[in-house]
Amino acid sequence: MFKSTPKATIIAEGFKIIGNVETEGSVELNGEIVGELLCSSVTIFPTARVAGSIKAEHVTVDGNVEGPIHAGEVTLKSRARVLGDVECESLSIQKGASLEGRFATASEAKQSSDVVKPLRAVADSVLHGRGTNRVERKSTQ
Amino acid sequence: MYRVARALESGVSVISEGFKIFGNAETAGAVEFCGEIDGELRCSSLIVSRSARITGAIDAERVIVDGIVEGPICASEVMLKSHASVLGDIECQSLHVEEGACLQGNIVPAVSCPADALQVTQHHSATSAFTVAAWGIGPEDFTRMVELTVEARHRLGDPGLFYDDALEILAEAGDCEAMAILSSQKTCLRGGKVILPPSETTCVE
Repeated sequence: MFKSTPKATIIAEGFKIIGNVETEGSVELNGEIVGELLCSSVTIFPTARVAGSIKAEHVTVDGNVEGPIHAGEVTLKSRARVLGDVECESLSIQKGASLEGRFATASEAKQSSDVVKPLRAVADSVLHGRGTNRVERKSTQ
Repeated sequence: MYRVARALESGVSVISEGFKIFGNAETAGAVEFCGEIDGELRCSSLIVSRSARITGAIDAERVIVDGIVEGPICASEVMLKSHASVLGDIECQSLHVEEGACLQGNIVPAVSCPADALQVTQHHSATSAFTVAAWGIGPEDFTRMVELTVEARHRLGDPGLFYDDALEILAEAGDCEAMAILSSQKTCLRGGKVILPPSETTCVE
């Protein structure tokens, strides 16, 4: 019954946390977190929702995020819906993903938090940033 | 990935070691908890693993504790395994305690459960090294205390037994030894109240 301790935390659908969460391990989120999330890597699945800031090395979003993301590497998958600023070193956006907020590289943001430039993002579709501070993109697919 | 898939299918959340929650958590599903939570936890089935620490109330259907719980537990079925350390009252319909478990708190029957239906069982006989930290007494003394308190309760016709009542009854009976046991533990007994299992208590060999 008591298995060896898993490294990854798995939060099932329907699991709701109201408060802050931190771990040095990875998190597979299918549930809901209303609060800050601090971890090494997190995958936010379609049923999941984070209402609060996320700080992690690797962030993969395929669900809902309402809050800023600070990470080394961010991947927004097709079902991602992000409402908040993204600050990261690299950003990958798949077709269908929705991002409503500003995004910046961490280094640039540190130098001047007011001037937010479009990131050299690895996106497989066209972003409508065009030098503005706002990226808004929605796809029907 | 197998683990992930399985968890997704069954709705089981696995909170790993080092995962800390500062706030409340709730789910209709089952939880295997190895991390830490500073807040309330509500779920259906809960396993509190050896590395886990829960500081707050637990509200669940079934709880298996093998870690540290500092707070009240409310569940229909509770099992305390050998590494369990519980500081708080346990409100339940049935409680199973394994050798080595520590409980500092009262055992009270669930609201939905009549006092005389509360089942408390031990993994070994009552003379095993079952330790109740609240009482901080050895197995022989514990057995004796259970006998004395059950007997006293019958005399009182009261499902619950209060420390002072027990002491009075023992004084009447002139049992200095048992009085000494009770007296020495008075400070450990929260509110001076001891609620012990009813006479239906069974000891599972």
